[in-house]
Amino acid sequence: MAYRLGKDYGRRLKLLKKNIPVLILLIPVFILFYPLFFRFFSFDSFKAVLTYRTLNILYYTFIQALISAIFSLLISICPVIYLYNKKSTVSTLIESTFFIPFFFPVISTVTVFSFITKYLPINLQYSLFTVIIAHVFYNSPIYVMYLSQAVKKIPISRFESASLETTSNLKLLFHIVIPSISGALSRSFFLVFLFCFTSFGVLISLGNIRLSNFEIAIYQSINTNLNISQGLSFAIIQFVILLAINFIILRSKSENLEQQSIKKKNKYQYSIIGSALFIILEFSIVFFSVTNSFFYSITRKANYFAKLFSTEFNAVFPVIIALRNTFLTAIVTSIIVTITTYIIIKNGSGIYNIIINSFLCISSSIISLSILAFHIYYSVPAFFILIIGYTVLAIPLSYSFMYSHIKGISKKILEAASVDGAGFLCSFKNIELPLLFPVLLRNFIQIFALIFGEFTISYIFQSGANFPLISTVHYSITSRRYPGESYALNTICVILILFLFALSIKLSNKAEKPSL
Amino acid sequence: MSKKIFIISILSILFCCTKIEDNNQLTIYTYDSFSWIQKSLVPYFEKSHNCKIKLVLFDSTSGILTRLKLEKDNPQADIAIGITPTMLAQSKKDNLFDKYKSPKLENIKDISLIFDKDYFTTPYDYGALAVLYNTDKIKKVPANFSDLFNHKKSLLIQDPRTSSTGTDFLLWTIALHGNNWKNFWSSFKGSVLTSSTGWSESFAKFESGEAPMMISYATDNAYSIHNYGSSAYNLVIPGGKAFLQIEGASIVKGSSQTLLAGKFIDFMLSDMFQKEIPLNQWMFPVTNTELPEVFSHALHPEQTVSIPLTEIEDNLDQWLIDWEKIMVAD
Repeated sequence: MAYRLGKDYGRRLKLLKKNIPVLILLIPVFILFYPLFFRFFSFDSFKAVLTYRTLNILYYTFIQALISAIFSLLISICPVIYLYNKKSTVSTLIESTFFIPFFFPVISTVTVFSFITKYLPINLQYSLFTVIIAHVFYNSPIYVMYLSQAVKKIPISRFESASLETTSNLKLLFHIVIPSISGALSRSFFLVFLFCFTSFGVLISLGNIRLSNFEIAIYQSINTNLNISQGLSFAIIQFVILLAINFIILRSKSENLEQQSIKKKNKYQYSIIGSALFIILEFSIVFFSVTNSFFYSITRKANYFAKLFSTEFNAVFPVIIALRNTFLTAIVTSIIVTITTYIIIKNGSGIYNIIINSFLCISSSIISLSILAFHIYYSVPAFFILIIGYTVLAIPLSYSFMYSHIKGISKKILEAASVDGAGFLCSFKNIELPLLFPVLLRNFIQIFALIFGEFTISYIFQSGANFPLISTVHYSITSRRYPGESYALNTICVILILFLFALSIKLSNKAEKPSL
Repeated sequence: MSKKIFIISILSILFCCTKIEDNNQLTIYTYDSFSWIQKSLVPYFEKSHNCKIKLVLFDSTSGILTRLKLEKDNPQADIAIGITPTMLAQSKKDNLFDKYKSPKLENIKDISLIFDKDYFTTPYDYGALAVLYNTDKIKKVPANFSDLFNHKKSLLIQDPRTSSTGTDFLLWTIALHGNNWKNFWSSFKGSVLTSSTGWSESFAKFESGEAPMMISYATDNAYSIHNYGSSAYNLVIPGGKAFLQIEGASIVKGSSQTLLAGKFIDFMLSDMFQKEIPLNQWMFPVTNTELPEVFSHALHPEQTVSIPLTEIEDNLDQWLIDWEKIMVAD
């Protein structure tokens, strides 16, 4: 009996030990959201939003997100095939588009799309079609990023044995490729679906009023009706729906495969056309956005770039201070997020997948309002509270970026090192870090870009009051009618992020070379 | 030893983060385009009242009210500047402000500008909405709103669910058409090209030539002429009956500086403050102050329409839902 009790106790202790990281992860999140929900949420508001209107919003949100996610997937197929087969300037260009979903400003996309649709022979202005194309532009690089990395890891032996059996291309796709990349496919599909589901600026600016969604309802409740409880109610409904979708989509488990070192020489000529179209779609918008400010300066014979950094202008719009603050916040947060995510993935089990991805389902407006409430109730300085907010926002994305890479490191190698007497630090320094360096670096840059361009948290937190950030200063410049300076600042930010991405690709490639 | 250093470091950080209260400090929440008062008006008030003013700038008025709502149990601000009738109606539900009847209210040129008869807010400037149009593309100026029905997909509006200008435009049409406002919008929606999240987005689209008309402000031309020397656009108030956008200042409930806050609101109605409003705020002063010459290019609202605060307070949520239904319906 005593033996049985001891065994039960031991099992419980083991279970508790296993779940301590889960608790460590959930407790700060609970503390963060507690002040807002405790003080402002009421069940009456929740009951009041359960109407036919909400159902209608759900219907339109779901349909546009689904169509956008499918079209984004279709357009990403050719670039994925190209990246699998060839390493060239074109592949670097394709890889450079990865910054778009996480950084590229909505206002630039909206301006370009408005411009293009205006001159089309058929009227596509403010239609579902335009919204879908804008979402495809924004999100297809996510598929390219995830799928190209997953495809590269399919063992060559699988293709070789299939070719011996003279399997058709279609069979190859359904029996070998899709099962091998199902994890990356479901993960990227969920991310794209989620971004389209929670789209705000694109939907309002390029869609018609019919295309309402939950984010608009949340924004309206909080900012126009000043009804925080109603906003929280919509956010809860959105959260539950996305969580359910997340649960259904992410049930498929990915294989933890290692990067293949042998280059393939399959037929990829047909993918060149699709890849070219993909590059044209993505870069024409980036190009227009970057060059717009130069044209504006030339036509108005003014140097808005110099004006942006002048003492006079900075006395009203603290551009230089905002750049410094944003750099500092983005660097610190990116380091914290990269390290935390590494630890979570390393020690995590299946439950983490659900918990981490559930963070993604939280409306960014609600995250912002929660950190604001937390800041007010606990007097936490702006710099720290912004880092907390950005960390909550960035960890799920970082988790998605790095999951398969960290899990893909062969346990056998680490176990062998451990048998040889290597401690954690030793095997991390000599085995994991060299293998993971490109991934960690890319993750760092992506999170940096995400935070650099982030608007919702900075806007709702109103950080301009004592800790100006570049996105809110940019917003102030635009809304106070300084278009030249606004375009110039946009150009500087886009060029800066493009440069960082190019650098990260170069460094990653350099780091990958020795292993090949 | 290292443990001690760690504890001392933590305590030092906490000490540095602790706010040191100033007994004679007046904290003002306002939107960022009001920052011009820092140049001369704030230093003058600080000197004359031996106090310190902390100006906290927000990106929007709704941001100020959300912040005040979150801080309700522990108010950090003494005054909120930029409160519109719509915002006041919404904030009354939360009892965010204290009453204050300024002795300087008698300076206000038109009693109808005092939109809150309970004196929770003191008006300091006003403007009007108007239709901004491209003179190259609109040859026949719409005399009234029904003339706009002939211009299919030509007008850019701001979404009333996300923009205060949009909400005010909706209220303008409700004030003009009363109970028939839904019928008006059913016909009017054909003239709307699209709605934007805010005024800036609409103006960007308007400037790029997407539509020949947009909902804007009656002082737009004066602003363009003052800053750029000319304006390619013109303004009209269809039907001549304008909807005023009045802005006010309120004392935050629970403020520890009510006396000083009251003095600052009185100062806002002084000649010194009011004469700075036209060229900085691009609004009209509420007292009889001489207007700069460039304001001859602004539309001066002669006739006005309005909606009682209580009506806005009771109906705005439903009006927004009804508006959405109309715009969504085929």
